[in-house]
Amino acid sequence: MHSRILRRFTFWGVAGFASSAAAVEGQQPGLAGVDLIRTAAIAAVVLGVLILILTEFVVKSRISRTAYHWLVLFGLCVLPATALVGATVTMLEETKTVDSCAACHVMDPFVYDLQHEDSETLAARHYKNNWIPKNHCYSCHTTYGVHGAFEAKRDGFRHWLLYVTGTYEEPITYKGSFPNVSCLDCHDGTPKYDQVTSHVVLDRDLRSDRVSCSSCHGPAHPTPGERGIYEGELWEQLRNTENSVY
Amino acid sequence: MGTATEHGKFGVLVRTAVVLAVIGLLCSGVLLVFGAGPWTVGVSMMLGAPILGLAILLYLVVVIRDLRDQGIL
Ligand code: HEC
Ligand code: HEC
Ligand code: HEC
Repeated sequence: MHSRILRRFTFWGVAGFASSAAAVEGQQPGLAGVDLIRTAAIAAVVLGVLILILTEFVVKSRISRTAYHWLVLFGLCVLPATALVGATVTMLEETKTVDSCAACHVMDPFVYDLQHEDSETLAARHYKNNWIPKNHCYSCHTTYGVHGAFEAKRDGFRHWLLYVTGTYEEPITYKGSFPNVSCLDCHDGTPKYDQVTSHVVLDRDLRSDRVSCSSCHGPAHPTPGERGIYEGELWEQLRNTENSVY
Repeated sequence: MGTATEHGKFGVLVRTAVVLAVIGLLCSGVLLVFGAGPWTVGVSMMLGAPILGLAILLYLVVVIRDLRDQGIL
């Protein structure tokens, strides 16, 4: 009896390992941890669906209760947990990229402006000079979206809901004020920052967000009026011209 | 030792959990395969995750009640 259960488990174990190994094989070398977790989670999804359907609807009457219980435990706890962890890790990692910001079209003007070499906005300057090497939006907006504390999660959920239900108004605006700490994380304590008199004089106001960095160093992005050119027909024309930088 | 079908007391609950888990697993697979976007996050995290959670919860209820019936808990 036990050897039969054992054989079954060995079979699923080997099948699971083989499928994840096969998936990993197809990727580039130097696979990052996130990709591994993601691959394992995909294997868990496939395996879980197979195990659950086969166990409950096909072989249930033919296997022992013990075998059934183990298979159900595996399919209802272990594999779903793996899938959930994988999906969460994938989401947290992927949403850091500029590409994922661009997935929502309301972000188009911000993304285009960021990557436009003629733009002089604060975000574009950080981009073209490579001051921020990657995940540009995320680096300045760390407290935003699905990252960070509870408040940020709530905001992220609210934005998501507004987006998919289409119940927002353009131009979109920043609720509350931009937290200066996002800038200070990189700039605080650097000689270039510390030597500026305005920064020293306003130190307390800047740290308590009473004065915003962008009041002197803005605009961070195109103004609502300027954003229009990155949308609609005019934008399509711009993008389709021969020397388009986009 | 009998076969699994003889143990029918919680059969409906387990079957519900299985169906929920299959749906939940398929939903979370969407984000895993297609990457993060407004719709995939919606399907996987807002729909798939709660469904999977419910499946796991149902299963735990069955296990705890089963152990109680057997006088272990
Ligand atoms: C150099 C840092 C920096 C980078 C990089 C950056 N932002 Fe911002 N962003 C800001 C600041 C500062 C504000 C607040 C502006 C204000 O209050 O005037 C802001 C505001 C916003 C707003 C609200 C706009 C409004 O009018 O209220 C959105 C949306 C936004 N950013 C999206 C993005 C996206 C998308 C990216 C990447 C393509 C990005 N940001 C990259 C600094 C940055
Ligand atoms: C991920 C790190 C990072 C973040 C976040 C960041 N910066 Fe920078 N920033 C840099 C680097 C690196 C430079 C170039 C070196 C320098 O001037 O200190 C730079 C340069 C600057 C400059 C001088 C150059 C210029 O064109 O005026 C200003 C002003 C500036 N940043 C403001 C901000 C503000 C305001 C924020 C917040 C909205 C911010 N930065 C967020 C890394 C960052
Ligand atoms: C009252 C206006 C004012 C505010 C508010 C302000 N700055 Fe500045 N900042 C200046 C001035 C003036 C300079 C020096 C002139 C220049 O390089 O543009 C400067 C220069 C800088 C530089 C570039 C130094 C260099 O030589 O490259 C950085 C980086 C910077 N500020 C970051 C910040 C950050 C981050 C904040 C918010 C915490 C902030 N500033 C708030 C006025 C301000």
